[in-house]
Amino acid sequence: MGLMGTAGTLSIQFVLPLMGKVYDTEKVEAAGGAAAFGALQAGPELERVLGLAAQASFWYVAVLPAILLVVFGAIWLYDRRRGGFRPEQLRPTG
Amino acid sequence: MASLYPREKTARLNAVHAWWPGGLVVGGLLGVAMSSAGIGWQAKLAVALIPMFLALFLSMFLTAASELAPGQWVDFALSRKVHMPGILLLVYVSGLMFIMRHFAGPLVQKLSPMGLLWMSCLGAALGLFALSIANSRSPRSSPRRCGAPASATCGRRCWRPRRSDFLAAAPC
Repeated sequence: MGLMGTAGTLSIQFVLPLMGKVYDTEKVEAAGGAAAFGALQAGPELERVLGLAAQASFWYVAVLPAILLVVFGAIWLYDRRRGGFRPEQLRPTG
Repeated sequence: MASLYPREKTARLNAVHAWWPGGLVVGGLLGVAMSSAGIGWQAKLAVALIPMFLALFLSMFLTAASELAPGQWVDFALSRKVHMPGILLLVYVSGLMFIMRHFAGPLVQKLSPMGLLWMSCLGAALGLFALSIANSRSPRSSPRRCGAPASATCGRRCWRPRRSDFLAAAPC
C-alpha cells in the first residue's frame, strides 16, 4: 500500500513538471515565438494563446489512460479466459 | 485480515507482519551476495523494483497521473478553457466521484474490478482527449466565435486533432 501511495505521489512529481514544460513550450509556439509572446499584453489574445497551451498539455496527458487501456484490457481478458470475476462470499470459520 | 480470520486474528496478523522482516532477510542476503559479486547499486535497485514496477508501480503511476495531474491543473489550465471558477470545477469533479463511487458496487458485480478499471480509463482517455480539442466555451463567457455567431458553427471542430495543426486554429 505504501508503494502504491509512493507511485501516486511520484506521478505528480514527474507529470506536473512535464505538463508545465509542454505548456511553456506551446504558449511560445502559439504566440509565434518568444519575442511575440513577451510582447503580448493581458487581453483576449494572451488568453487565447494560454488556452491553446493548456489544451496541448491535456493532449499529452490523454496518452496515459490510453496506455492503461492496454494494460488493464490485457489483464481483464486474461481473467475472463480463466473464468472471469466471481465475488467471494466470506463466511465465519468453524 | 481480521475480517477473513476473526478467530485467529493475532496469529494471522503476526504471520502477515512477519513478512516485513522476511523481506529484509531476503533482500539483505541478496544484497550481500550481489555486493560480493561486484554488482552495483543500480542492479540491486532494479532487482527490488522491476517485478513490482512492471505489474503494480507503473500501473499505479499512470492511474494516479491520469487523475491527479489534471486535477492539480484545474485552476491553472482547465478554468481558462471552460471559464468556470476552479472551485466549481472541483465541486463538479468531486460530485461525479461521489455519485460514481456509490454506484460502483453493482458495476463491479457486472464488469469485474478490472473491467471497471478499463471502463474508467476509457472515460478518462476520451475526456482528456476531448478537452485537448474542445473549442467551445460556456455561453455566458466570450467564446471564440470562429467568424460565425451560430453555436453550431462554433461547435464544429476548428482544429485538426494533429499536434501540428493543434496549435494553429484554422478559421471556420
